[in-house]
Amino acid sequence: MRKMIAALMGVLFMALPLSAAYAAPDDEAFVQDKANEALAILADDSLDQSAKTARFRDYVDTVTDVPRVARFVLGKYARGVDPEKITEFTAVFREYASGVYEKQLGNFGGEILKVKGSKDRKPGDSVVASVISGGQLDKPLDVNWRIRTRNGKKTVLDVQIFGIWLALQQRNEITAVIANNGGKIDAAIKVLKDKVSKGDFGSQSKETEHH
Amino acid sequence: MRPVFRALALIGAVSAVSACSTNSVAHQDDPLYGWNKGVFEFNNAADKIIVKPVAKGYRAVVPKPGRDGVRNILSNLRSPVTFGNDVLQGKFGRAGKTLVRFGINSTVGLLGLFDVADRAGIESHTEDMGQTLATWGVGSGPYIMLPILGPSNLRDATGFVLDFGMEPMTYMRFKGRQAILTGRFGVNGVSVREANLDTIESLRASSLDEYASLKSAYKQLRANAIADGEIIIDDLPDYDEYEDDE
Repeated sequence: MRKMIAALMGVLFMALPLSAAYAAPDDEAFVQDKANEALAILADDSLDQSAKTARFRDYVDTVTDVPRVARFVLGKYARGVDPEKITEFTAVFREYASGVYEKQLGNFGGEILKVKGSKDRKPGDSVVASVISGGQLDKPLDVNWRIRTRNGKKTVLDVQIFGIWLALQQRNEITAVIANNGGKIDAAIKVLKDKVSKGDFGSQSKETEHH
Repeated sequence: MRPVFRALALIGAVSAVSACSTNSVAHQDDPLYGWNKGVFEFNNAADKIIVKPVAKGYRAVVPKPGRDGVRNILSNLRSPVTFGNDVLQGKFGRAGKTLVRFGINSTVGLLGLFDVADRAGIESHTEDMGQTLATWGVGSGPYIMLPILGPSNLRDATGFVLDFGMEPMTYMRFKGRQAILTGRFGVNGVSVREANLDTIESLRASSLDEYASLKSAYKQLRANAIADGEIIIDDLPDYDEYEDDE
């Protein structure tokens, strides 16, 4: 019984609302600033689709640390691999991830993002909670950001939208592809290249319901 | 019953093939991989042949306000289960909201057809026994793909069965009850599938490995639901876990 109460207390405390903890004010300002930038690009009607895509890819490059995220999604397979292979993987992963993010965020335009709070995971590693509302959204949407700070430079490591951390999701898929192919990174490179060449990044959904 | 046996035989056959072609080291976190992959293929086929076309037809024939109404009624009927689990989790504030929502929507909302409570600022949420067991400290157990029902795990599948204990219809006895229960199950399935037509299509198109994608999404969504959307910071993976150096 004691163990059960301890477990319950643990869950309750760990799940304290982020709004109660303003642990990383700099990170909150960073998210507010960079999210506004993304929403502005997505809402810019003066850009045609290819110009918007190019702008968005530049934006992803400046806001995230793509090589680091690429290593993260490789999981244990990133260890002890030929650096050239990692470079090859990173290049195609950049294309794929930018495409996915653009598609996932492509529905936005005219929305407002408001930071709700933040929590420090450990020094230089925090999560910022925000909510997007207005524009084309029927209901406010929670979006959480994992921010890494090293040597004063902040980057976005992961984004949680509709309850799913995107880089974590990509890691689970990519490591499954590698595991199913004898632990070879080449298999993941091939699958990613295929997706990029086909432009298969998912579709923008208007009528979405989450149960 | 014969089609059911045939379906199970098909799942068993595909499972055997999957198990043979599986490297056990590659699926250490998925001990039922052979069965799961077989059911996954079966569910995909059933979805392609039956569920998705029906959901698309439903979208084509019934306009959005009608579909919203159906979803609202089904959601309202689910309130007793959510209420019971709110209470079992000690979340009395949320239990109160569920009760008030049920009261308002069942009356002013015309038996749940309109979500009047939501417009009044009382937002909906769902709870189930799988989530309750998780908040009591019960681990998820192995990942399990259930025929037709889709992704689950030992804890959530157990919770799914236990939830019937909180379902008022379980205790009612009247002629046609079974037909109503079956009809409700079917309509709910079509309604949920219709609401997720685009999302599932998008997931399928962007995923690198559909089976792994569904498993990962299920685990993440359940963790999110158990924490009521709050972030449990200690559960996040360490980004530097596989770094050679910093």
